[in-house]
Amino acid sequence: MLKVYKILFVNVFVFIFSTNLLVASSLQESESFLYKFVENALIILNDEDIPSDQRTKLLVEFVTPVVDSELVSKSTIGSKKWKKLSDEERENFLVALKNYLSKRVSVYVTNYVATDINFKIIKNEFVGKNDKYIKVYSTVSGSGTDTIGFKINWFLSQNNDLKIFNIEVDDGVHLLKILKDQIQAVLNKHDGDINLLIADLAELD
Amino acid sequence: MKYRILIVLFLSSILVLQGCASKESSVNYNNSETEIVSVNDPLEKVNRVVFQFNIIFDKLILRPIAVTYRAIVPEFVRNRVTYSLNNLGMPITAVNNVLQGELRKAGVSSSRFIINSTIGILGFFDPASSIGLKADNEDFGQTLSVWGVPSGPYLVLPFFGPSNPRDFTGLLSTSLLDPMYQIGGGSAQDSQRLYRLGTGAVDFRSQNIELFDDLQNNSIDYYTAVRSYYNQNRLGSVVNNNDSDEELFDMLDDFDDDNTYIGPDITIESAD
Repeated sequence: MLKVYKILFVNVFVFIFSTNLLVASSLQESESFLYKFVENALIILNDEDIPSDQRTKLLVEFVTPVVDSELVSKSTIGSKKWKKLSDEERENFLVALKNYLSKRVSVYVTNYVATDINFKIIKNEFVGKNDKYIKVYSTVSGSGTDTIGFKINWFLSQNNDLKIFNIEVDDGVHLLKILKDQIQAVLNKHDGDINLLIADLAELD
Repeated sequence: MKYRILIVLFLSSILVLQGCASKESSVNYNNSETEIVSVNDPLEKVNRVVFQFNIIFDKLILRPIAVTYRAIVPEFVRNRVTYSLNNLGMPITAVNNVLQGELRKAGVSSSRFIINSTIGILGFFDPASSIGLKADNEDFGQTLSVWGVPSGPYLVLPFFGPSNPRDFTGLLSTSLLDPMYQIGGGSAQDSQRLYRLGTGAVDFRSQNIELFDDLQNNSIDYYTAVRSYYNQNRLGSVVNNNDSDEELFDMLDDFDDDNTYIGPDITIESAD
């Protein structure tokens, strides 16, 4: 009987320990993911041997896989509209938005990631229904003592890999929400025609 | 002074009425297929015209001044201006903290003002933050929001940009009741007001040159992007930060049971 209790105890202990380890490792992963993201962006930005047009291309290639374009596409178009789209329309929209997002994020990285920035993660936590997402709180400031810093919070999805799907600035401004509002406004202007929206996105590309 | 308070009270009462009325006039984007997005912007057509006017004003006047300011004034000096402007806003913040019932925050704001104005040499430096006294600027619009006054419809004001009746009232009240404006009298008051407004605008613009350029050039709909930013920012300044996250998760949770989409990189084998 004692042996059964022992086995049970060991199993429960191993389960709790491994669960905690998994949670801790996911959060740790999110930290190293973001540090690596900024570090790699800096490498591309600081390499003076790369011509500027080549640099933008490299940034786009670097940014594209770390943005969760599918989640962004679905949430900005809205579930009602998404369900009514054909597979082809979904794919066309996804590709158009993916191109648009990669360019946008590359521009942000070029504008805001300077050689002397001080990027610091403050904390991270699981958020959303069933702790589906990870929110990472960070600050960005110049490396000197007399610089005015600002807060950026990153929202990561964690399906197979960690991917960025939203950035929050100014304590409560979600860039995903701004994008959704724009997509909905343009869709409304075009009477819900997704192809016209895709054309608009391509024009900005 | 008395008539100024009366103006503020009068505007506040108009605001409450407008806010109530605006509930009726909110616009819904409700095509048969698109999502229902409730936007309280019944004056969108007029707002877009004023918005265009502001863009031209910005392009011709404000942006060039901000670019020149950033190019010729060293970062050290620009930071002193930013700190000093923040410090000048602290008495108003303290008053609004009290009006919102946040006495501890009022203490912090007042202490910040005293420490930065003295040890920080007229607010040019920020020793208060170094000892943990940190505070965000608060205005009368936020206080009205805490009191439960609805924002009313979205407005774009000439020169001032995005607003709503509640925040516009807050802006006027702040301008009329700010003790800094009471220094001097007559034209001295007006020139001080203009000086502070102008400096604040150039300081703010110079810190956001790339952001605005990028938003303007790459937004799918610039007007909507600015409206969304403004509404979220104002909401975020009065509600708990977690509330804005909840709204975000609502957007995502709609898809929890949706497995209808097969992505372009995924192949599915027939079960037959």
